[in-house]
Amino acid sequence: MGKIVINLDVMMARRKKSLKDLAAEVGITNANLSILKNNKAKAVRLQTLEKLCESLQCQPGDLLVYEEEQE
Amino acid sequence: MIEKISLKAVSTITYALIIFLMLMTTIILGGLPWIIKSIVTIDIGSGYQPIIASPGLYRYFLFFLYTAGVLAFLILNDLRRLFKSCLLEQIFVKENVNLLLRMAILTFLITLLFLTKVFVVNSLMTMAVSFVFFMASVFCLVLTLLFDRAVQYKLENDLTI
Repeated sequence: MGKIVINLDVMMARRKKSLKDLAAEVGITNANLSILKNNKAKAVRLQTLEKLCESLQCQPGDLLVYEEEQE
Repeated sequence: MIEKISLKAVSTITYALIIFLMLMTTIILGGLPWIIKSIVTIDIGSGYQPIIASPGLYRYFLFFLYTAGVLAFLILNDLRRLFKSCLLEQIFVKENVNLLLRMAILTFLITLLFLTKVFVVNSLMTMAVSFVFFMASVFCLVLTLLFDRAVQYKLENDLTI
């Protein structure tokens, strides 16, 4: 059983975007973006994913990665 | 029509009512020995006499009413905390699930208490009250399970970005 990892911090660093700027562009709060960045989110809306990809100029696969749990 | 009913207004009125009931419960519990002596009468074969004429029954009634009163006070306090959370708009939280479970247990204890009275001094009212509190206990348990599910949904919703 694996899990989906959100590589938001990697993409943010590549595009040199701060949490505050990205949150404003996507239209969510800093707190919610922080939850996403720290992999605490239970689900992501497609609308949010669209806005993230638009803002970070990337594909969903750049942000969402499936990783097998290490036993 | 439901949109016109303000949750905050209803919660405020209910909260005030609960505070009033808690105050009345405290006053009545404080003066219970005198209240029982002056109001409660019992038929011990030679017509209705004040309860003090039968010390055993008087002690039982004192124990019975004090226990019921304390349990009722605890239920009212839990209800107060529940409505306070409604006023703060934090309805579906784990604390409220625990409060409802506690209320279910407390109302069930009152049911058991009234069932003891059935064997001591029975009346139709006693049996009716036992049944009502039993139903209240079941209702609180159902609400506990519903609230628990609602808390899970809310948590998932809160963590959906």
